[in-house]
Amino acid sequence: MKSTLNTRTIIIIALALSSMVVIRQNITTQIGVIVIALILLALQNDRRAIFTRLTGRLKHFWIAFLAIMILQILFRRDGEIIFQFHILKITETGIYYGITVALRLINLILIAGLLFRISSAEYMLAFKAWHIPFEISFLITTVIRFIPDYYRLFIAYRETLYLRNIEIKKLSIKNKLSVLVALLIPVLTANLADVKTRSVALDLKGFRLYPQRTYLHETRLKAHDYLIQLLTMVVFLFVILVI
Amino acid sequence: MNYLYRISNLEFAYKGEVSVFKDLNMVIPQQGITVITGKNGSGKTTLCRLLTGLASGYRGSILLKDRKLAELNLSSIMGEILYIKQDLQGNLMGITPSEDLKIWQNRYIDTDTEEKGRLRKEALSKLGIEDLQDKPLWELSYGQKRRSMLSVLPLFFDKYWIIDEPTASLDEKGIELLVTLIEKKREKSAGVLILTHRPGLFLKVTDGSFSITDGKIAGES
Repeated sequence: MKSTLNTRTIIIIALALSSMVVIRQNITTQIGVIVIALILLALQNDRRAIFTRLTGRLKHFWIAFLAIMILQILFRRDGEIIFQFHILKITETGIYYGITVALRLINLILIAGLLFRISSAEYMLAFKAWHIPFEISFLITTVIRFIPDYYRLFIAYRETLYLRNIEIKKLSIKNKLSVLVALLIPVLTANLADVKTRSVALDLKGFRLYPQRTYLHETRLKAHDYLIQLLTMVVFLFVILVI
Repeated sequence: MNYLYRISNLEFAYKGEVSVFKDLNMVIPQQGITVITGKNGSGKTTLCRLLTGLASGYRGSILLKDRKLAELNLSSIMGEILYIKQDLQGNLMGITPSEDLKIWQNRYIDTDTEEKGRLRKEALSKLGIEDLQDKPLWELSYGQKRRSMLSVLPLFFDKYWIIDEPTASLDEKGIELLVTLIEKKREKSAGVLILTHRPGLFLKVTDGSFSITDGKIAGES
């Protein structure tokens, strides 16, 4: 099912959810946000495709989740001690925060998933409706567009290593660094070249030539958008101020 | 006829998208020059990715010399296949064409030798870019980059080559040098799979060709 929510509503929800997971460091909020984000993602996309993509994305990060969780568990010294061996101390608070931080990271990836599905044109229209100067909205949308580009480039270069039969895991640290340099240089130069091309394209389109821009399309908020935005703000304030 | 790939009842679709192949059947011989054509979006590059193990999740079977491709790791596939992708980006590593070839040769595990250096120069000269060997890759034109990518071919003459759209952005001289290289490979009864929109350019070296339409083989000669 395709989303019927306006881009502005999605951005507001994403901002509220990401603020909640950062400000409220408790498991209940984190789980609550995970549930909300999953429902929204399911509404926004074809369900099966989005969940396959998400599990794939989370699979890449599970080591980071685990590492951050273990670090939190090991370095949190306060709270009731559950296990102690010499200087190693595992406390109730450590476990609690370890789980919370891991869940927060999952949440941030889910919320990013909500935002990545929006096209740069939709962002432009949303920012225009909020009267954000075009230069700023252009900057933001360009950055947003670069993230998936970098991801695709990363995949392409990982394949380059496969095709050359280079098994990075078997290399020494020195050689791993050499591989990194050999891969990064073409990426950086390609991006610099891309920036140059984009700047030429901007000039050709007369960027900032006229004080006012016209837009072919316009997005209007529907009744349910107002309702959801209001509900989001209420939930946000409730979670931040009351819970 | 010895075959390299035997593809049976292949079905494939990218996650959440429409299917690319429906019941695709074909045999790609180990020797000779095989050309696959098809319009934009017909699945030529996807087929390359499936044959080289870069894409998975298909139905049906792909055999590589009697072994199930799905059961092989990428390292053993790449031991037999040299795949040159269509994209320029992500195909070249390092700073110069010479360094790129050096990485192909040594893979960060072998030491470089004078002989290898000589082979690199020879390979670059076969694509007419020996004078560009130390020029930064970002200063090269698209055509020069394509030539640089293709210059790896002579270094791995014993492998089966899969080349996806090799003539894109190549000038006439570049195409002529590439065809000469493929001709030499053919003389040695070795095999090449070329995926192209311009099969006419390889007519004099083609031993067999397939055409993909609507996810199936529409023509074979």
